[in-house]
Amino acid sequence: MVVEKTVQLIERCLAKDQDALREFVALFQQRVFALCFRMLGHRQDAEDTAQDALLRAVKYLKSWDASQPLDPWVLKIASNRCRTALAKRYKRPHLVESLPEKSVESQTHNIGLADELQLALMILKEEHRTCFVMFYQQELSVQEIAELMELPIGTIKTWLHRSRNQLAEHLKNRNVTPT
Amino acid sequence: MNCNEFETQLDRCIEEKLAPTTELVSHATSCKNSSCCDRWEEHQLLERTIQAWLASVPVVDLTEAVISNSHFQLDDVEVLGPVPMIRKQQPQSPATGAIVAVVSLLVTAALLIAVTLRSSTSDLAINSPRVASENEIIPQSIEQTLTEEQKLRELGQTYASLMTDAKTRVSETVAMVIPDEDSMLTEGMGSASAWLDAWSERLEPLETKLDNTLRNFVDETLTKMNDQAS
Repeated sequence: MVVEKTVQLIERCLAKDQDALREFVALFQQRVFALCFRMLGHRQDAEDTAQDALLRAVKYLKSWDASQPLDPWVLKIASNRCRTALAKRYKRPHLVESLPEKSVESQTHNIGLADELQLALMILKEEHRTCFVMFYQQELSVQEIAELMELPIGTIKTWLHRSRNQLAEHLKNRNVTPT
Repeated sequence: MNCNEFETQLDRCIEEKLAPTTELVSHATSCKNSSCCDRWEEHQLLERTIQAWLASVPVVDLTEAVISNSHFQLDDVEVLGPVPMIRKQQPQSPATGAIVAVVSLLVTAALLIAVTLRSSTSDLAINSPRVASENEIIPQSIEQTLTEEQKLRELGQTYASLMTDAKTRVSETVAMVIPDEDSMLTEGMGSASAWLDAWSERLEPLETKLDNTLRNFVDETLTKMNDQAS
């Protein structure tokens, strides 16, 4: 039923139905933005990249295989756009705003904890960060991430545990303790 | 539950997003092994931090921005899939501008040589070359002109062979560094740049020599013409 609705939505989008396009964007924009925000750690960059990813998804809608779920397909495009954005960023690192050093509120408020984890995420390798964000933020399973990243399940599991270990180590080094 | 089982079950809970069983929690809180204690402490720290992190994503509305830009996107829909997540990164031209500059320089030089050689040839044709007899003394000015022309011709041939070589190398380099919109990372960037630099260095003295020879040749010709005119 859900698949049928998705297919109908895409068909309407391809028929240049503006309402369908709005529906499509509304359906994915928050997930795509969240992925970009977590991957890039910068709101403006994340908005630009999310917009770019959604436009690209719209552009390539015709090539979506209806036998496959749409969500991972869109997330894969977003992930690729993040990778491109990060590659551009590495060429001009001075333009990147980093997150604040240890937040004053970090011991008392959730937002402080979130900042700490986001800061820690940026030290991870890009593919490990993608794996972590896909697993926790996008709530994909190890199997789905493996399919999306076209890698063996074992590799994804290894990356997931390695990311967690690195993040935990980083948080401990910064004396982060949840209340 | 022993410590190994604890490790395995905790890994499974993480991978399958399951809540820890009472048995697992019981082992974690009662085990004296520092490895289990540390592992459990880290797990709890991360789980709580992740919960806070998940709740802190700003809400955005990109609908209008996307819709306003998407009208032309659908007009030229391409039947292409998204690029694979992990793939071999294709090299991108590291210095497309430099390649274009070198190619332009070579083409300009080729035209210059072609024009000069044609001019020399036509000059020879106009002045009807003749075979000098054994005892005939060739005037020094004509001899000098012939020497200059010979020099120029040799330089032109060297330049042309260098350009042919350069053209081949540039073609190979261009073929090697076809840009890919999705990949900003490059491979072999250093070698291509080094090659271009080396070529610039090799061509520079030759260019200077050629320029000087041409300048001398033109100056002398003009002087001769002025002398004849006066």
